[in-house]
Amino acid sequence: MLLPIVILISTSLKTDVEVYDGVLKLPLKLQWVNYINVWNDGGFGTYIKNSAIVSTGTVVLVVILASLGGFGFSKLRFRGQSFMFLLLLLGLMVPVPAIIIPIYYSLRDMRLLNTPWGLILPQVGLGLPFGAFLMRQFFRDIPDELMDAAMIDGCGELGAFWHVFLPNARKGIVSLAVVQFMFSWNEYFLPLIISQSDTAQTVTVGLYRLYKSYVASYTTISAGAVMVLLPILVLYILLQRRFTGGMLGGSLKG
Amino acid sequence: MSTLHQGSQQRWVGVKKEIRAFLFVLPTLGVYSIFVLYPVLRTFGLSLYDWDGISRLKTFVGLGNYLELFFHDPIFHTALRNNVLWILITLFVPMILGLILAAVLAGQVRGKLLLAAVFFVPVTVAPIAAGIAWEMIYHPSVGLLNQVLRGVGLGRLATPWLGNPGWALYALVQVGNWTYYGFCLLVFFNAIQLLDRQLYDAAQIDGANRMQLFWHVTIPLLQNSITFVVVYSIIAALKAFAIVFVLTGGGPYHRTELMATYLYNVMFVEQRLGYGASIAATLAVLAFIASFVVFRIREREATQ
Repeated sequence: MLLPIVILISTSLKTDVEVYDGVLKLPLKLQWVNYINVWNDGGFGTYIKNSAIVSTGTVVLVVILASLGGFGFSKLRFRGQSFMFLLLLLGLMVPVPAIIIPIYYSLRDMRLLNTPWGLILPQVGLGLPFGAFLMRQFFRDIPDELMDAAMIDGCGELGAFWHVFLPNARKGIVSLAVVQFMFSWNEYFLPLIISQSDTAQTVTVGLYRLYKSYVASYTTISAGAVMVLLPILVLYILLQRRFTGGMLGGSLKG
Repeated sequence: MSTLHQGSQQRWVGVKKEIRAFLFVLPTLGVYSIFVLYPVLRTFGLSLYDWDGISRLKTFVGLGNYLELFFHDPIFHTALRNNVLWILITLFVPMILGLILAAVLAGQVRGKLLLAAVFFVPVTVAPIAAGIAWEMIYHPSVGLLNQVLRGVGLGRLATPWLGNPGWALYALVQVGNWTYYGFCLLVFFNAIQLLDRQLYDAAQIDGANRMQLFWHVTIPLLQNSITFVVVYSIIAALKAFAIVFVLTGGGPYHRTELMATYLYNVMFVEQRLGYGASIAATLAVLAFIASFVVFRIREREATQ
């Protein structure tokens, strides 16, 4: 199960010649230089920075908007709320390629092509259905009585949200943040189309470019691939329960 | 103050409260509408035109794009067939294996969390990185698969997997599945944890063996999870793109083309955006239809 990853890491630490000796053989000496090369000549320094900016930006916006929205959908009452929530959930079924053409032209008109915002905003739009759903689940588990208590104490809805519900939904926020970060970091189709210039590229498309370039060898490409998967892997190892809880839509107990 | 006045005052307070409530979801709905809803509608609209994306001239062709797509486009037929195959394999392999493995793991205690975690790791790997990792396995000469085949004397079977028109798609789907097993395992594993032990105890007292327990207790109780995984699998399979794009680019000779990769081709290489939009629209409609159909079927089954 982990073999492909092991092979990838092993290859990334080999010299070019060693690759042809056999995939399962381990490198004689660990060629960390491959990583340095990928960072500098391979442009990955820039790519990783871009991915970090876009992913973080997306996560921050999704968490804020989904918390507010999830709270509104779960604890508050207004006309048409079921319909609106259902409409929002439809977004779960929309694949990025299905809407890429209008998004491209919308972003172009907004002069946001090749910018981080051009990558962040569509991803926020696509991440909100799941985000709002997840936060709504977490908020629902918090008793309504807390709402009444807060209102009696003189809080408005926003006050109740900020002081009472949000702190209690911490697990939900972390889960959402972690899962959304993964989806953003791993996103490929959107940056492929929206970010044309090399300097604006995210690490996933950067890896593709590296792969297609004639100068890169398997060792360098593998190093690049490891750089793409490592952050999320680390995130998973550190925050396993939040991760799996998030992916299960909040249904994980405890 | 007259009661009439008081009544309208209360209504106004009620309305203000509703507006305040709505304000919580407004930003969410706003961004969603601009970057998801509106583009979906615009894709459908665009699919009715012939347009190269650059010139101001857009020719209205009505359903012409769709007619061409469904009746005169062999590449699209291949792509559609490949997507369906991808869906089916994803449903049968990761989902069923995940179900079985979850049931197996539910029994033993030692190391099961570790095993589940190990399976889940590939889920965190970006598809493009997964594609590149598997290149090391599928490579014609240094790839693991061929080396193993040669090593055990089955060198005859060694082939350039990704360049083989018959095998390439299956090789690619396997990469996709690799990133998906863990998710299925997670869903089912978690669902099984939540089941009531007593049902199992009762069945075991009645003399049921493990196989029967699995078929007659576990599976019926997991209906909701199964429905969820089926729908999720279909949508995930329709989204497949990066793995094919990086490893074969849709080749050889379009044999591994998917709707998404074909869309890319039509958009960037052929520069026919109206036509591309019709592919995009088809993709979206398929996702919607598949989801609703599955829900309907499961709903009906559940009430029986």
